[in-house]
Amino acid sequence: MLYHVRAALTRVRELFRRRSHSAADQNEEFSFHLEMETAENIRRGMGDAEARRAALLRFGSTQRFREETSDARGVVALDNLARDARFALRRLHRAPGFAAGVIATLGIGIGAAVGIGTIVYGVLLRDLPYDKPDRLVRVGFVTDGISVPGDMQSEATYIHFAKSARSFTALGAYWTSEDFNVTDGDAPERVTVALMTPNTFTLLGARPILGQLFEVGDTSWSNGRSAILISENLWRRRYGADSSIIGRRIDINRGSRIVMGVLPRSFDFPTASVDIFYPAAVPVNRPQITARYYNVIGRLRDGIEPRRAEAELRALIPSLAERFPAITPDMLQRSRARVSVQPLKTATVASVRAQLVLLGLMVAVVLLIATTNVVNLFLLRTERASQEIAIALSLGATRVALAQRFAIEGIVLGLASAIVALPAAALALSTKFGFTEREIPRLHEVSFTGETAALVLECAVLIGAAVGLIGLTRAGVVELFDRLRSSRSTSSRTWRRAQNGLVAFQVAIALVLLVAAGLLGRSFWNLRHAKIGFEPGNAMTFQVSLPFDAYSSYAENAAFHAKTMDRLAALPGVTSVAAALVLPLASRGTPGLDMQLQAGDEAGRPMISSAGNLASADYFRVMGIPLRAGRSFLPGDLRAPAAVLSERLATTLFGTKDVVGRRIRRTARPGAPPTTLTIVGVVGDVHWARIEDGYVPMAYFPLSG
Amino acid sequence: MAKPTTNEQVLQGTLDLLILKTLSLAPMHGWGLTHRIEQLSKDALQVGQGSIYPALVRLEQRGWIDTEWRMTENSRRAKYYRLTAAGRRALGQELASWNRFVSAVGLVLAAER
Repeated sequence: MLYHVRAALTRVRELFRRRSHSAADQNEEFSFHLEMETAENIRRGMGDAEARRAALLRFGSTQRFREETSDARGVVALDNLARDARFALRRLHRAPGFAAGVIATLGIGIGAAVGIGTIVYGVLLRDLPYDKPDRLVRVGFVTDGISVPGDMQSEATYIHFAKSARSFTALGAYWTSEDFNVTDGDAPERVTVALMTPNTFTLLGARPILGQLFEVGDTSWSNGRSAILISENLWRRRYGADSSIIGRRIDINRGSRIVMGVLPRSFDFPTASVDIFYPAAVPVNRPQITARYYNVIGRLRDGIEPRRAEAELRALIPSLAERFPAITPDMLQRSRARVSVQPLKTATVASVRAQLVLLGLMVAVVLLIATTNVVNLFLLRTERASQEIAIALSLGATRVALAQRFAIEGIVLGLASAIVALPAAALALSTKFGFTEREIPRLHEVSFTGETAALVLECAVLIGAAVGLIGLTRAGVVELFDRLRSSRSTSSRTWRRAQNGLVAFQVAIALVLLVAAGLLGRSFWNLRHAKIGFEPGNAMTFQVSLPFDAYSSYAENAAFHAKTMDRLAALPGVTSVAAALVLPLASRGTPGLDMQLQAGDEAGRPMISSAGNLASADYFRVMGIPLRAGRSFLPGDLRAPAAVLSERLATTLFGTKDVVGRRIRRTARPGAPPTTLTIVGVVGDVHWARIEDGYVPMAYFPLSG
Repeated sequence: MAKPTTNEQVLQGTLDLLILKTLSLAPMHGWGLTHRIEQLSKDALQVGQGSIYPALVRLEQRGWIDTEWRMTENSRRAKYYRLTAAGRRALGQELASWNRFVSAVGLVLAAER
């Protein structure tokens, strides 16, 4: 908008320059006029300077009427702009209620629209902050035929694609973990760690602010370097931005690591909360396609589109079985293995796209309603001012001049509403409504900037001018003589109809908004009240990860858990305590155990994939998971060994829920010796990964004893 | 905006009317014109000095007035305006419609009181 104003001013100036030879004439005429007026003022007794000033003032400020030729219009345009602005301010000062109404309505409307619009834009549309981000893709491996959710890859699939695919300049794999402790210095700190293949950094275009990146071949397990990179955040927070950090050893998870480089804040891959980067190797110890924990991203070669890359990878799937005979063609077919290649930006924000688009639309509708309200206010006001307008027209004011006056009044109000809109937008963007990048990816990239402020001003000026001009259309119908002849009834009726139309429109869009909000609310209510299979009310949870080297044996782990639970149970206000490997809906997609199960203990029966969990004796009671048959775990169940099945799993395996006392065979991974377990209980089903996903078959095993 | 009505053009021509009338008395320059109008109206009408020029250009384009650079009594070059024959006719018509308008307004206002 500022640009447009500037362009308009330039055009006006151009007008001056291009004026015909009469421009010189006009200048001479005007200066003659000023001289005469100055002389007259002096004759009346003013001082020289005062006389000149008075003459100029009168000449300039009384340029009320517009000339119809473009030349003359150029002469007065700038002066009129300032004058109209002053005039508008005076008029608004006389109508404080109207002004306050418009400023509040537009201010909140624009503030909300720009604030939320900036979030929607920043998350969904803006380029990712990496080198040539449009060439970056997420490469997924999907098996719709077996119950492995998501599009992550296994070691085998990643290595196969990385070696064979030609569509990419590089394929990088990574995963993140929150189970890392930094223990050097005074206070230990839990940090988020990303384990990434060294080429991932170069393929994203990471540039360290200190030190250097990993070299290809660096891995977290190679004894040679055991190097890490740290984030700028950790470097400043924990090491006081000390540049001698490079080459220093720091203690992580009871091991010692050499800091090799510091990555800038702007490098926020895979999330902004990662503080330490390990170089990851992807060893194919056990080629398979069921346990997949690697995220894979790639950089497309120039000229290759995601669709073509996907086609190439699809064609490579059968040869997986050639490279890794452990993966059979039958397995690939049964799992309905396929690949997905999508732009990294799309993949990053896929989880929130629909919600954000809806939010953006809703806030646009809110702004539309606010604007309609303001238009209504303007129309009412113009009706009241119609007498004044008629007089201005009769005194020779042109319609262009009137239009300018109204537009300026709208713009002045628009700019005033920016006083409300700017803090509103700033508030929206600084609080982000309590969301973080955990819920909405890329949210940390969004902030209130000069661009946002400029956008607020642009909206304010544009909407202001538009509203002012719409107000004027009212004046166009009110002809002077309608007024003087008191034949206002005709035009008033027309206008009442128009205004009614406006109100109807407003009610209609408000209704749309209400319905949308109602549906959202209803969905939310549904989610809150969905039967999830357990009772989260009054239950508190926390998570413990024990360092491997201090708790290497199962007995040590079990002892720790038993002691912790005893102490927790002794706390006042705690009624019961339980522990489990993972919690339903709370463990953010942590898969728990996965295994193959078969009914009965003789070999050769069909196996099915199942999710598994470890649970303490009180787990089902604390979680409110109903015991349908049999019992929960007792001491000795670990050695027995015993299992508890969910109803769905029991039905899937045996075709009946009456399975207490029967046996199942568990294979933890292909090729491992199977274990035979006795079913001691059957419990209700729970939702596992997401409420939307419904119940999953689940097998429980004793956590201790 | 709607097309201006005949009556409104009469009104919009109020300034034009004043200019035409004053120039019919004697040719004069712009500054003189503003002062003459103020003087004739016994200072009741304050004609915007800057606004008189656009009006003059408009009248000139209609062929109602003519311009000429002349020397003033102080030997200063100034642009003088003079009524043309067409301007004189126009003045007659403008006067007539003004009078019609004034009496019409008078009637309406009297009826309302």
